[in-house]
This record gives sequence, C-alpha cells and structure tokens, in this order.
Amino acid sequence: MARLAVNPTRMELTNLKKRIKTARRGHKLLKDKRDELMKQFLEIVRENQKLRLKVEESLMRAHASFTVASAVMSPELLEEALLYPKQSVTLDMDFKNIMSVNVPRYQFITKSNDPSEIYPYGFAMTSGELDDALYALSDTLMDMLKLAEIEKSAQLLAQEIEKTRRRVNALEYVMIPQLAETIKYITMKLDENERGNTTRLMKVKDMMLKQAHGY
Amino acid sequence: MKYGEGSIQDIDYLYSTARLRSLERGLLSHDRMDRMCDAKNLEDAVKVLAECGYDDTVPVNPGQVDELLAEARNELFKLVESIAPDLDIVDVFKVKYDYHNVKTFLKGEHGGENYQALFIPCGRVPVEVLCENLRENSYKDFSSSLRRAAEEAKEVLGRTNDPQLADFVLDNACYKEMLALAQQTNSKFLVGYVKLLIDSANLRAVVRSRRMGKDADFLRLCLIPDGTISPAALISEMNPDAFEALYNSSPLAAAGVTGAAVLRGEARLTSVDLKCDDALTEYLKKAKYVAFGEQPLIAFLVAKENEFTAVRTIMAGRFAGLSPDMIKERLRDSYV
Repeated sequence: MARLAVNPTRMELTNLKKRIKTARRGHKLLKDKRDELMKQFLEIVRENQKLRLKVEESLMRAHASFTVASAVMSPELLEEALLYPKQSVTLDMDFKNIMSVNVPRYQFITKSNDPSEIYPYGFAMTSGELDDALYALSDTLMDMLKLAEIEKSAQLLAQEIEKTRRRVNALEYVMIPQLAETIKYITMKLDENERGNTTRLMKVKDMMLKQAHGY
Repeated sequence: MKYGEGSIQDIDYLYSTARLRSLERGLLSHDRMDRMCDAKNLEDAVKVLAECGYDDTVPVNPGQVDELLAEARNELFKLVESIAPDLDIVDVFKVKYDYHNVKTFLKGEHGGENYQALFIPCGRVPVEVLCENLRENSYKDFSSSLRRAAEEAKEVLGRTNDPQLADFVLDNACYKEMLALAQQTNSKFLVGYVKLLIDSANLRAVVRSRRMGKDADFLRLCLIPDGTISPAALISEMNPDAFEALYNSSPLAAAGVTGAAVLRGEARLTSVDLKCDDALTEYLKKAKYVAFGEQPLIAFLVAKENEFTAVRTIMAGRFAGLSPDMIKERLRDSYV
C-alpha cells in the first residue's frame, strides 16, 4: 500500500495519528449506517415485492375486463364513455427521513369519497364489463400509489447504500491502510533518526574519552 | 309516411324482404361463429368471415377489425336505406348514433380531449353539421327531442362537471325519441322491439346501480320511463326475489332471473348483458315467419349490428389468445 507523500516529522505523525483515529471512528459509524440501511432496504424490498405482485394481478384483472368490454362495445362507444372523467384526484407529497435519506410519502385526495362515483358514463349504451374494469382499476390506484412510494424509497435507499458502501470501502481499504503505512514509515524514520543520534553520541563520547584519558 | 295508413303497405316490402332474405343467408350463424372460434389460425377464421361477405384480408391487429366493422356498418345503413320503403323505420336505428355523437362532442369539448375519431357517421344528422350546430348553439338541423336533450346535457355538464348525469339525460331522450319514431311508423313489431330494448336497458341499469350501492334517487335519474315495466316498480323492489318476479311474464324472464342472481352475488354481471341480448334476438326471430313486411328489415338491421359485435368478440378473443370455449361463452344468440 502506497504511503502518503509527507515529511517524516513528529508534527506530521501527530496529525496523521489524529486523522487515523477519526477515520477509524468514521469507518465504524458508516459501517453501522450501511448495516441499518440494508436492514431498512430489505424490509422495503420485501414489502415492494408483495405489493407489486398484488398490483400486477389487479391490473391483469382490469385488463381482462377491458378486453371483454372492448369486444362487446364498439371502440367509439367505449372511448366516448371514458372521454371525460367523473372522479378527479389530487396528489400531496411530503418526505420522511430514513437514516438521513429523504424518501417521499404520497397522499391522494379524491374529489368524492364515494367509491361508486368513478363511473363517468350512463348505463344504457355501455357494457357491465366496463364497470368491473373501472372498479378493478380504481381499486388498484391506492396500491399503485403505495407501490410508487415504496419503489422510489427503495431506489433512494439503494443509492445511499451504494454511496455509503463506497465510503466504507474507501476508508477500510485505502485511507486507513495508507495512514497506517505512513504512520509506520514516520515512526520508523524517527526511530532511525533516534538511533543515528544515539550512535553519534556514543561515538563522540568514545572520541572524547580517548582524547582525555588516552583509552 | 306511416306504415299501414298512408301509401306504405306491407306489400311495399316485397322487394326489400326478398332481398334481405337472400342476404340473411350470408349472416354469421351460430355454426359459423363456432367455426371461427375453433379455426386453427386467424386465416381460417377470416375465411369464414369472407363467406359472410367481409373482406378476406387477414387483420394484423384488433384495430383493423374495428375499421372493417365500421366500414361494414356504414355499408349496412346505405343498403337498408336504399331498399327500405319507409325511411322512418331506419331512422329509429340511426337515432342512437346522433345521441352518441352529441355525447362525444360535449364531453370532448368540455374535457379538451381529441375526439374527432370517435364520431359514428351513421346518424340522421351528418357529423360536420351536428358539430357546427352544437358549436353555434343553433340546433337548426336537430329534431326537437335531440335539441332539448343536447341543451339540457350541455347545461348539466357545465353546471355539475358530471358526465354521467349528462349521459342519463341523453340516454333517456334517445330511447324516448326512438319510441316516438317507432310509434309514428305504426309498426307494432318495432314499438315492441323498442319497448323491449328499454326494459332491457332498465334491467341492466338496476342491476348495475344496485351492485354499486346506489340509492333510489340515482335510479330515478337513470331509468327510462317508457318500457313495459315502470321505473317506480323497479325502484321500489329492493328484494332480488321481487325483482325477479317483475320480469316473470316478460320476454326478459331469464334475464330477470340472472339479474336477481347477480344481486345475490351468485352470478356474473356479463351473464345479464348476455341474457338481455338473447331475449332481444328471440323477439326478432318472430320476423323469420313473416312472409313480407317491415319485420324482416328491422330484424336484419339488428341482426347485422349484433353480428358486428360477435365478429369483434371472436376476433378480439383470438387476438388476446383466449380459448375457443371462453370466446363462445361470451357470444350472443344468433338471429339465423
């Protein structure tokens, strides 16, 4: 592992020791964050899978009813029946904080709370299958909205997990080894200097003794 | 001109009856429907259609089938108008297209949607004239009933933003005008047919409304008053058994039984539509035993319109990959 290009001084050593301490603490915290994010992510993904299956099943049911309705009614009559909607929906959105990730929360408000107020057509010229198709779609709308919320949350959490994982790996496999290597290098360098000094002093002492006493 | 009173007599229908009897041989019979359902591939199904006088080009998507049927519908009205001694009879069947076009215009204009492709050019008023009249609020080419209904529907839609209420106004007016026109022709057969049509529409409306949990006020708006069974009786009978009893002596008895079963949650709504349509076809079958008169003309017109639905059902089913049995259970009874 390459070491940092720094001067091997005591001051640098102190700085690096501070940095490695911070890096190790950060590494532990980020690892905890990643684990918690993974836990939350898995919970969301499991819920997402269940909801997606439910929504897909409902949509298939609605699609089957529409197929039958479109077979029994002429396309002009079918499209005219659905040309102008009776029910309208407004969407409100706020955010929820999961481990510093802001995930969206959707709330939708319908013009009428009566579930039977979704049929925008008269009954004389339309098929009953159309009622079933519209009911199935209306019934799925809540789940579809929940699914959109959950899928967006999962996507945002996955991005955050990816970011955190990169940070953890960068600290674990790059930054901390580099700092450790540099600290080791400076320590060794300083020790080497110390030993050089000691040897020099011993040599000077020998020379002085020889000069004074003739040893 | 009034049938039976003025210059139109049943013998005036000799030519049209003879012509239509020969054309009836080309109608899509039950046997042909089964062959279409059981055909190995789309090409074989189209061969059966070719026997019935349709184009033998194999459609590649359901949209092409719709185009084919729209063209056939236009041809049908041209043919019937060219041979019918009394055009008032044909007008009874064109009324619904006028009302459909009015609905399309009002909803399209109100919602700002693109609706030009949704008009059906088989009404009494040509589509361009109808749009111009509605745009200018002049209604000079409209019948008085259509004018009143269009004005009321426009006002209702503007005031409530509820397309369903506007549809109720137009549907009610449509059936009333159909009945009035049928009565003007003095054809008991046609009046009986329109009344049965109203009864059938009311039966389906009651079943569908009750399934949705709607109250009596809603039913009062959507039921059409001129059938053989009064809307008041339909509104007051909340019990499925009593509802079934209302239709006991009517040609819609089987539909009434199925409707009651749907209200009890024992049958599917599709079966009510099916039984109603079968009852209407059964009524039309009386025309088979009429040597000449307006009955074969009326029966042919309706049979042909039903045939379009059958073709659409079979082809849509085949495109969707449904099994022959699943397609067959959705097919209505055939006139021939």
